[in-house]
Amino acid sequence: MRPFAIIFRRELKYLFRSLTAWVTLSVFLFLAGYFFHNIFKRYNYLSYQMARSGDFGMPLNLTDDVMRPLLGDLSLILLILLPLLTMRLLAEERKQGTFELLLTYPIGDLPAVAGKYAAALATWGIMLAGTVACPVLLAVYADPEPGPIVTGYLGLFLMGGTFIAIGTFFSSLTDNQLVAGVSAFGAGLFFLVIGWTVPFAGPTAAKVISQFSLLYHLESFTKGVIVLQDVTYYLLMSAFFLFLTLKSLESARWRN
Amino acid sequence: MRRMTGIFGPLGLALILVGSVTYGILHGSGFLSVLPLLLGFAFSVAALFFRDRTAGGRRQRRLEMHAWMSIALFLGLLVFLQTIATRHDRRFDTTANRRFSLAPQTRAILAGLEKDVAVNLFFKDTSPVRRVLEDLVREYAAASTRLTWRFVDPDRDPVAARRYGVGDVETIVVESGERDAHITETSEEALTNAILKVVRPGRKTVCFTTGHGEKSIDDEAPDGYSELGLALAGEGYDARELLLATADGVPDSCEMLVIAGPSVDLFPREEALVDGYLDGGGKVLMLLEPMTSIPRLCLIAYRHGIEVRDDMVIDRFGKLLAGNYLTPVVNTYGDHAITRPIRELSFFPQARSVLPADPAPEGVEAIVLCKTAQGAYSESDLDSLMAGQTRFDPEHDAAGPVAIAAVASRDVPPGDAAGAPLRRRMRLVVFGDADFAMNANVKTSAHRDLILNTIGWLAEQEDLISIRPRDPLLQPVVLSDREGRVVFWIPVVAVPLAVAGMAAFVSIRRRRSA
Repeated sequence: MRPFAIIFRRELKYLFRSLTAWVTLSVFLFLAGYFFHNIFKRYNYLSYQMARSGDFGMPLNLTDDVMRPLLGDLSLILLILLPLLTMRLLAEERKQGTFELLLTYPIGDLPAVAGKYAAALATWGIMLAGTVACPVLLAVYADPEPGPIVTGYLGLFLMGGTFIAIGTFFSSLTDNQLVAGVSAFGAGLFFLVIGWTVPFAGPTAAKVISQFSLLYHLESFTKGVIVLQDVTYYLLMSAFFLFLTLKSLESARWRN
Repeated sequence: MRRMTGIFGPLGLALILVGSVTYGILHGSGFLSVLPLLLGFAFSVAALFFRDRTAGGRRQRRLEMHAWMSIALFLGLLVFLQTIATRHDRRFDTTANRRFSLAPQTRAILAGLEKDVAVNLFFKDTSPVRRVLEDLVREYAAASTRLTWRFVDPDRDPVAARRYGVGDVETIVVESGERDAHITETSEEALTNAILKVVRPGRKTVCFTTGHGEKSIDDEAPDGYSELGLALAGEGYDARELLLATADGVPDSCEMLVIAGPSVDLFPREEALVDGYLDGGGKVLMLLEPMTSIPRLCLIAYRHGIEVRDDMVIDRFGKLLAGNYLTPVVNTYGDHAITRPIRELSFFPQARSVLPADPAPEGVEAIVLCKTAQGAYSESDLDSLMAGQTRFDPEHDAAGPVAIAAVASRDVPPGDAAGAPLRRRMRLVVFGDADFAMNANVKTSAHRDLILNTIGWLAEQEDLISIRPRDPLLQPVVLSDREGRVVFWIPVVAVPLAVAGMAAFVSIRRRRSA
């Protein structure tokens, strides 16, 4: 546990002593706030229109019409911002020549990777926690359902965990942070948008494709339903990429 | 041997991937779908085993292969775990009104599906109900691997819309094998019942009475009903004729009785048969022409909630649209499952007025199904009309809009016999015209939909389920100007600015310490 804690603290300290985490966090919160404002204003406008016309034929509720679009937008922002956090995790160690040092430390690959991953995950958790102002404002002016808000955040957190695992893996492959970042972005984007082809695919292909889609598995969380297979999907995807990272470190050791 | 064992690893990885698709995602059942996974594991293990022994001094190559094999095995393990999670569909609905939890009846029906069911949702991409419907149908698909669904935008795929006979109205077509059901309601109850209809074995029989000059489903003449017979066959019904005079009663095999345009009345014995059939929860469709003497049929209809008048509907719009005053044009439909999807006008060449009986018999719910515009009236002086004269007489004639079709239904107490249905509902539909459904007219305007929807509604079975619709959870929020400003300043400015301030603080501190 101790090597893990050392690495975890070291990474977190590094992130927040440098500007990386702060700038990423403020940009993320600004974009999240901007999207929330627009979505809530639109909701306000629709409510006004409905109240005027007296037509309540369509359900208009805060979960489906504010939180779900907001969480969907946040998933796109995190796709762009998380590679900025993860691209340096191992690539920088390679670049600065501390990678070999890391490999020779008697701490083991697993605590090293887990510590770095957990630090990025904690940063992502802090970023997400910063957006809590949005549901709090909803609760001040309306009566949103608490369940879907909690599940939505849980889903987004798990999805971010998968992105970070993907980013950690690509960061372990190269000493060029930009290459690591762009590769993580590309891979994340692929898993995110693969679901867009579902409407045009046949029933069998649609089933296969949607199972690999990160967005498809987020859907249930954002509407307030926790589905076991969606939780396991994110956890197992993260585990797979972290395992690949370990294998990458292992291969680096015997290659050198 | 070494060359051979060299392919074990990649082969194992490939087989695990194939197995994850066939077994894990497509939910294949049986040994064949698991076989690739098992073989994949076996090859991966074999590759590890042989590599360790044959690689000898080529340490790096051995380690490389070892890494690949362990990745394959780890992937296999993850696929196995995900498969277990997928197959054990555990879900926890946290919404306040449990709107994403299917009713137990729906879950039971979906779990028992033995045939594949495809749900085709014909909705435009911009339709406001699309998202709600997608949420619903996703829950269905999650509950059964036999159910697939897809949205079709009729504007983008008009060929599919035409193939399924879907017009402008947003429609869900549920199909299984050769059977399909069209629904326009988007509730769970409607969707589940549509699934029940298409998967239920057996075809329903529509019995057309004969012996009173009725229209025949074998008659291919312009005034025959052969087109309707074909349409019914296409919808999955068996249509046959029934000679009431020689029957002991309406056979159990008849899902409903259709009395289509009789030129003479029933015999007293037949009257009693039809009357008793309706009393017992039977389903009857009467298509009654004007200028025919059919008092017994009119009396049966009246006893069960529908008044059939001995008159003729005159409509000046008929002259404009159909060429004569004796073809009333229906432009208003009742709010009923039969007519809800219909948007087009209908024409009824020579029709009598038909309306709910007043007062309605006990327990009967009756409504007007079709009525004309304001400009029509019902002429009760048929002798003058035969002489070529007609004039609206406020004392004897009814002013428009004139009702031309009505529907009545009533719950019937359950029978004592063993195996009797728990709930039966008498259903009666009467049209004051039979010509609108004859070969020459049935393809005109909405006539085909009107007659098939009527038969479809009559054929609804009592074991179709009933699900209480969930509260839609409406939460309109109208903010004041001040509140609107708060919604802007706090999340867009204050919170990010506070964090940016921290960034500036960190930056300054770093510079000072440098």
